Amino acid sequence: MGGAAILPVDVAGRHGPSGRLLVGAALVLLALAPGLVRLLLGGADPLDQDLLALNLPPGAGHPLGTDHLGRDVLARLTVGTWLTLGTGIGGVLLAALAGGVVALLALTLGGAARATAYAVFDLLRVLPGVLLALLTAVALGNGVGPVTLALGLSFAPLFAEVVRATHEREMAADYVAAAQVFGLGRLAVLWRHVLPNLAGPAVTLCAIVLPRCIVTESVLSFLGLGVSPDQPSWGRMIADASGFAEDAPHAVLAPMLALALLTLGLSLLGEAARRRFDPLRREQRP
Amino acid sequence: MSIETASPLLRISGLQVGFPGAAPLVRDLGFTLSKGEVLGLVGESGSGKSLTVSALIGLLPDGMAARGSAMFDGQDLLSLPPQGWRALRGRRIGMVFQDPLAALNPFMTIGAQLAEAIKAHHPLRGRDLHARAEELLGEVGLERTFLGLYPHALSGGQQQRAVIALALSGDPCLLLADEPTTALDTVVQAQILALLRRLVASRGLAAVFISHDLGVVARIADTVGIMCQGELLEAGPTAQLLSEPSHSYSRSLVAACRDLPGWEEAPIADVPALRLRNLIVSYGSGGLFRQPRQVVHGIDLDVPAGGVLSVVGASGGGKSSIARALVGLAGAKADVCEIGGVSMPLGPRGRRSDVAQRVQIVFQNPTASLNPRMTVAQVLAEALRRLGLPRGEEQRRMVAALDEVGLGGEYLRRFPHQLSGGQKQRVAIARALLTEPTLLICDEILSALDATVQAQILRLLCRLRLERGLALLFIGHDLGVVRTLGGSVAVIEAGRIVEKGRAAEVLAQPRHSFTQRLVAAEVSVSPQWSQTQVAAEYPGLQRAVVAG
Amino acid sequence: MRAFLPLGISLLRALVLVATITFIVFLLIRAVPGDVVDVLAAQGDLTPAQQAALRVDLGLDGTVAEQFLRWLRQAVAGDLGQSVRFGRPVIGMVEQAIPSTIVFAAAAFSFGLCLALVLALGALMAPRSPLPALVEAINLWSIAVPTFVAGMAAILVFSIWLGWLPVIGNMVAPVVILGLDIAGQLAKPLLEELREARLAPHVRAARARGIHPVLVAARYVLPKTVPVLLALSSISLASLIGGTMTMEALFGLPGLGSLVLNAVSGRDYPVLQAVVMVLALGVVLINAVADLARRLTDPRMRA
Repeated sequence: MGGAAILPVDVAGRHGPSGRLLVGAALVLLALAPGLVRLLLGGADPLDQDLLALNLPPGAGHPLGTDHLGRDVLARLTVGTWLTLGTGIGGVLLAALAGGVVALLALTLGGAARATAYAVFDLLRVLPGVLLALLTAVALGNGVGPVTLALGLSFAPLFAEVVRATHEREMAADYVAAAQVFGLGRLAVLWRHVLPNLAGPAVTLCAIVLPRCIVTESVLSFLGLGVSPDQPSWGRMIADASGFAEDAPHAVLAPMLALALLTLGLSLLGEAARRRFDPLRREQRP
Repeated sequence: MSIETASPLLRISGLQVGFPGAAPLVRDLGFTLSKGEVLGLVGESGSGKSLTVSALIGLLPDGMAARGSAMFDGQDLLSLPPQGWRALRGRRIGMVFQDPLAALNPFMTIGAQLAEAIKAHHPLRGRDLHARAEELLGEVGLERTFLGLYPHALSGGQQQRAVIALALSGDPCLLLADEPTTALDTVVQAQILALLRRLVASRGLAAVFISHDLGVVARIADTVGIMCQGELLEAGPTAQLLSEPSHSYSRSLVAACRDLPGWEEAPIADVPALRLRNLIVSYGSGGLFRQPRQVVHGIDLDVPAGGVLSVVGASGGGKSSIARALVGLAGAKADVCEIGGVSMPLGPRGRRSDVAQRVQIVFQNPTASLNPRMTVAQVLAEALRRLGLPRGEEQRRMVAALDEVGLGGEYLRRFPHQLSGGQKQRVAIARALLTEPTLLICDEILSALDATVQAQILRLLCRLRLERGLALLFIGHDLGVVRTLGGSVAVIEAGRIVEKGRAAEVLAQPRHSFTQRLVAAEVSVSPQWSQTQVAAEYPGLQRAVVAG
Repeated sequence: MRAFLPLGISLLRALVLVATITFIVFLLIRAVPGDVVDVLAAQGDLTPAQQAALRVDLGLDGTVAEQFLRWLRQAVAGDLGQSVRFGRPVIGMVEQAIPSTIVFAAAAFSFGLCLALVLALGALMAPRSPLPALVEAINLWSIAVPTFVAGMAAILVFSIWLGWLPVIGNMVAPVVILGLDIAGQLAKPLLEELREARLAPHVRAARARGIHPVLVAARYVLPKTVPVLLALSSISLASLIGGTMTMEALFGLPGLGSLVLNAVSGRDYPVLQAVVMVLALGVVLINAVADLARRLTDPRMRA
């Protein structure tokens, strides 16, 4: 198929900031805006209960109304912004650390270390995230820590898989053979040839996993397996207010909308990154 | 089916192929082709030969379009609607592909694919269908037992025979062959070429045969066309074009095949560059359950200082394993392994020693052997790393090495994608030279390069050998190159040396049957070559079952 | 014979996996400070002797390893202990919950898979129609809109605002919502794989032979995507289980999800232990089946 081989590499020509990137960034900014404003100007206490103002619709004093305990929805939403985002980022970082770094170490050491590490990753892979969170919630209770741990563990196999694929491909490359011919040791080869080629895919994977982490956190909090009841992450807020949806639909809708905006924006950003690096596909074709 | 007249079956004129709005990748191409005639199109990668063939069967890559006129048996191929193509493909025009395994459906047996292809064009059923499939297999020299096999169970040669049978299933009168022997061994290549030639004669086919290898094309084509950068430079009867190429590019192409650079014997010192006794190479660490797989079973090799030893054989025979073992990339052991009289440790850890650095290697694929993320300077610096030189000295040596391979210091800042294939291979050679090697292993270093570039690289090696007294261990399959290199040759089959001696003598009078087959399959360009020689050389091939 | 060796090995690995997961759950539950007896003791007055008797009764005496082996022996015999909260045999509760969960998950998955196949094939055949954009959109939907949010929205809209009451307890809405989620995960990678498969040399070769386009699609393009489809399906299994639990909780459906969530909040560890084991067994079993199917559908791996 010589015809295909001589095609200009980027016929479809996707260069420059795509619409995806811009729209994604705008959505993320929009979702984070209330939280940012609060950081700058301060706001009401999210735990302050006003039992005389239950389920108030949006209006003066409470721009987004109050929930079934008379707590200010906007205050909870803005505090929850950082709780939601922070737990997601924490989960991604832990996944990258537990997946990527451990996998790299295991692959470098080889032998039993490699076999053990990947047996554990296989185990984590077949274990649904919800089941994992169930276990951490049972063992460690509710809270940001256990949820982050559950998120990190359930997404770690993805990073391990990307590391393994990149490592395998790089180690089979002739230029790595050439480096070995010049007497370069394992670490030097890893540092010079494998790591630089890993950076792109790993960063992209982080971008792809972040919205999934945030969604998973909200699901777990909704199921009562996530953050503790006094921490208003968006998933928790939806769960809390869902029983009173009839009287106070705004208390459910506000966090739902915020969550959808944030995850949609982040997914668009992740997709834009994926189109550039494509870590989850198999090796690039010439 | 078509009227037998003197008028040509295919007449192409003013063919342009490319993306609409962009510069065409094939420009103003024209030729005519009659029944029973084979046109060979030769060109290097990017010359537009594959696109030309794709345009003739209506399978251009998405977005590309062809303009001009291509009259095939009274209709213009370039203005056909999709339904028109479906009536032609397979039925009137058949096609054979480069990689036979990839061209076959891995999920269907050969028989099922044949039956499907026959049914697409002929109203046969049941026993008639089966009989027709068997008949087709017989025509390409395969037994009927192959009907029940899946493609992966066949050898490369058998797969290509199956692909040819499929191409013939609708009884086309025009056969397009896109590098059909490039993925095959030389011995198998010769068999496939003979088969195609025989089919052209027996079926009265017209055929377009494209290849990057002038030698292969000369062996099968009546007319040869030389393509370069989308243009057909010249075309003419094979013998005439080979003896009197008129265009300068064609001359260099013919010269690159035939007149390899002269190769003088270098002064030979007393101490051999390489003395190797009983080398055993095996793969696989030999885990708990797995036995290491031994691929080279105890061979002896000697390369005199400044001398040349060529190692030839079929792919998978262990040639490259020897090369990799000598530079610590494969698990190996040997009774004796001496470089310039000094014993060299084998294995990856041994690469740290000074003596091991006196053996260097250049790999087959120049693109794969340079990290795309590194500049030439970074690539070269890797070779000097273990010496820990000061920056200025490192820089000086790198520039010197680049000068030596015919590139200059200005290349230091380039990235591999900014270099041509030949330039990349020169960088790889410069990198190997930086450690002042005694022995340079060339592992098929020419096969990924275009013919004209091959000659340049050979000339470079020749100069290095004379100037540096560099000994060469040349792994290859092209016997023409081996003959040019001179020195000695070792013929490897299944991990053992079956014959060795002076290259000139072994190739002229091969004693072992394997060597004889290699020599017989050799493709060379000589003006005296004629088609009748195929039949004379391969009488046994007629209707024979070949192991492939 | 050789074809069955990998099957045996993967079955063995699956069993080891289930045992490992079960053991980890066992350890985790035992690691929580304060067992049921402590809780009960704090509520009423139990003499130390009564406490010890209760521990023996509940299988909480001896070392963790002893407890696990005993539990395992009983589990193999079909006895998963008693629910601490309801005092009923756990096996009965699990048996009751399994069918509805299987029906629900299978319905949602089949709906999702069919939708993904239809969308991807449609987008492949009609690149100029809105279908490719739809594949993209449904993919974003499944990432950005968690099933419980969609479920909440459905309840709000249909049940509360429009007053079509029987949304709670009805399976249609949750099946559609979870199915959409699954379809979103499958459709896009499937479409990418189909597009790539269409460029494969053997597809080009078949077209060059004049094989009918429908046959080319059915015999040459689709089979090439089967391994990817199987791999994707087993990946989406995790979210299928999570989604099933969420939907059961949200829409008040009976099943393993409701069972296990209630067990967590009620510290009903025997039930928790049993459900986790059943789920792990299910996951591992389905993965093993997918692996087997991959081997059987590829002649290169059958040999």
